[in-house]
Amino acid sequence: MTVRRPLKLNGTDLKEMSDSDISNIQSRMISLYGQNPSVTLSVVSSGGNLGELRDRRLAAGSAVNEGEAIDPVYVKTVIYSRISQSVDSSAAAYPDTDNIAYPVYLDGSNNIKSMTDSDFYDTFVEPAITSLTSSSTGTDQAGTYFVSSSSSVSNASLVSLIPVFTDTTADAEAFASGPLPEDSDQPITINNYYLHQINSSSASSVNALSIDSDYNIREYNDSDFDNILQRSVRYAASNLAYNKIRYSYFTGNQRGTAMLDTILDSDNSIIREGDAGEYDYARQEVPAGESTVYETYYLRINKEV
Amino acid sequence: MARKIYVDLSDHIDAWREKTNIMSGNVGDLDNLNVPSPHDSDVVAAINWVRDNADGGTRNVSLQLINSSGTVVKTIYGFDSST
Repeated sequence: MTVRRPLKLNGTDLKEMSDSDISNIQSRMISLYGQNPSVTLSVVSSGGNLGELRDRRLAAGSAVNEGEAIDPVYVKTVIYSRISQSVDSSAAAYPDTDNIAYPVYLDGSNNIKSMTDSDFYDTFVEPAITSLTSSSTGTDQAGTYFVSSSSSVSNASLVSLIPVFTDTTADAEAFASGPLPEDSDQPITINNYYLHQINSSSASSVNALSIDSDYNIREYNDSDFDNILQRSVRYAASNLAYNKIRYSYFTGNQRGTAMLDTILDSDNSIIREGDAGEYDYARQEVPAGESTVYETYYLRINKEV
Repeated sequence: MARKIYVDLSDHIDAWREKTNIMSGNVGDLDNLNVPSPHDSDVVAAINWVRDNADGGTRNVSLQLINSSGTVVKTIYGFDSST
């Protein structure tokens, strides 16, 4: 890994960039990624390629007559597979056919040398990808995603009103009264979880210098420098080993709210007894009590090999 | 208009003197030649000193522009502040 300190214009002189200059360029790269990310998530009704989340809730057993064995409560499972990840495989590295496309730096002999693509990735792209894939959800993660139980989060855009996961439990209150038999499945929604994308905010920086086709030293204009920054980070996020941005439910940094699958404890279930003269059935085991967390899910983001 | 000076066959001695002085003025005053002794004795010596120092001389400095594959694409010569 070779991190370089690029040159910049200081008035009419050449000067090495400060740490702050380099950090500002990394932020500008993140902002540009946020405007056009190469790894995106969408919400689909089913069959999302990110995998499955399971919402479990208790359901009542069948009602039985006096003298028959109790049919116990059981776990009903609803599968959510609503996040689909897309990787822009066409995102390509910035071309460097003449070996002078990337910014210049002062080498060990005090000559001015163009960065290699690896130098450029190590100096700007890798730190930007590390920031983009952190567990934070601020402007330095522009264009990436997180989950919230709210459908409206500041500085982020709701991807879809369709929740990516809904946590339900058995409605103990509904099961507690009324004629037998109770409907076996009487859910109540505890939480909906929504997918959001972090908005991009503008970030400015100095422009680096490069050797032009006439072998003079030239400062990139804003458009050209934006282009090299954005193409490089988009390529890295989609295709560059050790810098690929990927989402999953299992690996990487947690992104946003924990998605809780809660359930009523089956040990708290009760057997209701009806009046045979009044009700059709005499006994039925129904869910009751307080809920507990059955499983915790997170949307995760990872800097993948 | 070309400024090259010719002494014509028809010129009188005074015109010859004037043209010679103009040519001297065009060359300049060797006392004002800003190269170190003994290279300031004549114009040719001074030019040669400059050339020698700009192309591999001991007191020149150079800045190379190098592409990312290590090839020198341009060398810029100059003098450092001590000369």
